Amino acid sequence: MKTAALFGLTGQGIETAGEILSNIMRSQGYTHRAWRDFSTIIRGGHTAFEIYISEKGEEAPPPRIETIDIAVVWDDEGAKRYLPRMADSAMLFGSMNTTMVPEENRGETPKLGFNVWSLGVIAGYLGIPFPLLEDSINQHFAGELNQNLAHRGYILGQFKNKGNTVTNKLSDLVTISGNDALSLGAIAGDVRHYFGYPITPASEILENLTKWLPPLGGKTVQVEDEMAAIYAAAGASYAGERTFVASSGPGIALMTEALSYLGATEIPLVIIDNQRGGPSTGMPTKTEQSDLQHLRYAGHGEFARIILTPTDVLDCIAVIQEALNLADYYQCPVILALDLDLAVRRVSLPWVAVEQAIRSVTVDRGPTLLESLPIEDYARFHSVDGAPPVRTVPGIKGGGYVASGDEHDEKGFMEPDFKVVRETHHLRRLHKADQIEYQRPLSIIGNMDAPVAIIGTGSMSELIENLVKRQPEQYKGVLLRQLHPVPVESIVNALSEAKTVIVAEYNATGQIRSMIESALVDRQIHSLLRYNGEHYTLEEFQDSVTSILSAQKELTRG
Amino acid sequence: MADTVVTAKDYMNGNPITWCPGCGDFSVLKCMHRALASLNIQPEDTVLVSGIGCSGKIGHYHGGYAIHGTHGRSLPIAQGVKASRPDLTVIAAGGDGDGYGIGVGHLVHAARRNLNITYVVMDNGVYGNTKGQTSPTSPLGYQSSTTPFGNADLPINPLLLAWASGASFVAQGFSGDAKHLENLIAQGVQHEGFSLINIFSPCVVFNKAQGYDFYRQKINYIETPASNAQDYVGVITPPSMPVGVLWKSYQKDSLPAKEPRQSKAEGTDIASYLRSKLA
Repeated sequence: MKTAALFGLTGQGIETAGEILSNIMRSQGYTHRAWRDFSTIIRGGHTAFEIYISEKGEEAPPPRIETIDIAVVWDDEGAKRYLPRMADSAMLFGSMNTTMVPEENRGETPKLGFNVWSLGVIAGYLGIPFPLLEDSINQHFAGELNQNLAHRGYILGQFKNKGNTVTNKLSDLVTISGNDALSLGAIAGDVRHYFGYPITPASEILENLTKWLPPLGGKTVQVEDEMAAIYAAAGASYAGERTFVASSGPGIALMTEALSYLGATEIPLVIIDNQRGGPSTGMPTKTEQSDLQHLRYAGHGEFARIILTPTDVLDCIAVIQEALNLADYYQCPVILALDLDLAVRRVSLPWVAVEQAIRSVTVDRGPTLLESLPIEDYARFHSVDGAPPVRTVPGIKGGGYVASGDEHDEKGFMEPDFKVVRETHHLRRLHKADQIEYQRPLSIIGNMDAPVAIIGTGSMSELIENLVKRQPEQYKGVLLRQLHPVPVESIVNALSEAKTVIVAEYNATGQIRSMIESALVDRQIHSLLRYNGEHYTLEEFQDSVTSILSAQKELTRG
Repeated sequence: MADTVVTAKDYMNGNPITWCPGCGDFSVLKCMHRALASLNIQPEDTVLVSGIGCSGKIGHYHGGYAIHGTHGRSLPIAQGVKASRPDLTVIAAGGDGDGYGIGVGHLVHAARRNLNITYVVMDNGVYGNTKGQTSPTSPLGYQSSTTPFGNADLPINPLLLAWASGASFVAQGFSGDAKHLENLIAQGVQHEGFSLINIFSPCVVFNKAQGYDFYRQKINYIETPASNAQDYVGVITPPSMPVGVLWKSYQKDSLPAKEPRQSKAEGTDIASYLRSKLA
């Protein structure tokens, strides 16, 4: 494992430099994970890029790591931030602005150009051949000045390359984010139309699909607000076209009216919430898992819904396809809850793994009728023995009906006999997804008989997975993928041997814990909560888990 | 589209209509069905999207496909249908509260987006469904339970608003002149882009001041759409109450599909396609 960090000011092109470095590592066959710390101030703040490079030819990208092998910083702010994290403080490099960086590690670099110089330092340190760096830089920043800066940095970094050269390569890697993965999965799931409104951290999906859909005969429309987005998506779905919406907390709040409408009309739709720090505008560039209770209860009145939470980037590709199938089958809103870190995290993976995920789910439209109607006197909401009713789409003769948010009868007509339809139609619609047929409600990581089980989902999953890898005797992981309806039996079974359970989540109130409470009876339960917006490093996570357990021991002893 | 000849009757669905006797919306429903039949569009190839209010019930009386949406959201839904299924004839319908009050933001964007949909607004200048409150098109001084001392807010001018937002077809009709209205709707449906048809559709229960006689005396028939901004603004400035096609420009639907739709089921190797999009 090798880890590198770049720290500078917003506007210095730190992110682009990170992208270049990531591209080089990918083309050279190193699986890695990138982490971006955008400043919440749009201009004028600091920004950081970290990359964790796997060296053992491992297919799974590494998690966020505390220990940094090499860091290049613009000023002492950066030095302060990274010195405590350095494996060796002699590997801290910086511009002449710094006073805390070892003198021989400082270099002359202009403010705009620092990113290129830093790239040189890191590439030299990692033993990347210079011509490779030169090519990549040329593609982004032309000009001799840049090449010279990169070269000067390279010489400086190379000086410290004592057996650091990264080895072990895999072929045909791709680098994708959670948002990319959702876009890939959506297309594989037959989505060809998308309506979106920009918001951090979900805009990438709109941007991806805008590039990727037109050659497939599809299109995106950037609409005026999130209400327009979800209603347009509802229209497309009613018309038989698969689609979905993606937003973050503030946009989801606006979409809430439509959630209830979808519940009433049984129009299938997948809704993605890339959760960021709340409440309100909150921390737009920081991660949180604090919308879960909202997603569970949002919308006036009572109606069925399903909530899924992908566990990593690769998982997003499969889960969105599963969600599209579930929506078509159950004819209700299916919500995917991600958090910012998972949505924007970039990992490099072997293409074969990505392809496998793309092909892992078959499109299944459930009781959607796309051709012609075999029955007469069609009633859209008529269910046989509680099975989901047959749904026609426009163009089918004899299949016309009205999808109405007003309470309606089996034909869809409003002003029915409420006493009758509330006991029949309404109850069927309300309870249709109380139990769902979903094959992957959770993943168990590690040994069943490990005494401590850690439950989590989304961006927390990579930490749980890697902690279990480090201490398999002590920990096992339960990565939740189905959050609602709560897969009680699966959770109970997964926890059967565990004496102690830790529910790890990015919020201050233990939302996941209270949602799955019915599956946690008779256990020693602890909450591991973080709500400062910062994704844990593996070491921080390990320390937090350890301190919870030692506090428990103290308590038992006392 | 099938070859069968359709009549307005084919557009009825047998659901008993519960509007008040004398409501202007009966005529709108009939004219819409006649217009669609006159263009020989099959009922199953139409989607009627309505909003909330008395006029919103129109979807329940449409024998094709219909969506009875939420308050003010008929336009986004209709655009979603049209953008994903350009083969369908899509009509959005609602009242003045729905379209010019709660949903007015969407009108502006539907007009500038110019998808090929027709927006039929049944404008009665009152919130009839909630028993007679002031609406965005109620005149100044209008007295109701919510403006007992008279409406002090200027009424919305939908013809000016839609036009200023870039609508490529703006028309106004009157429920009391069915033949004329049917023709307007047919023209709106044929127009390749966004068309707004504002219809004076009296509420005989809650807005007696603006009944059929009121409009019969006030409206003036316009034969040719205005050809420039000055003329247009002149024609639609109160107290003029023009009916007819008032504005028509020839911008095409802004979102035509360029490639045929490819689905996984059709054997496209989506995985290889996606690989080509990734670095």
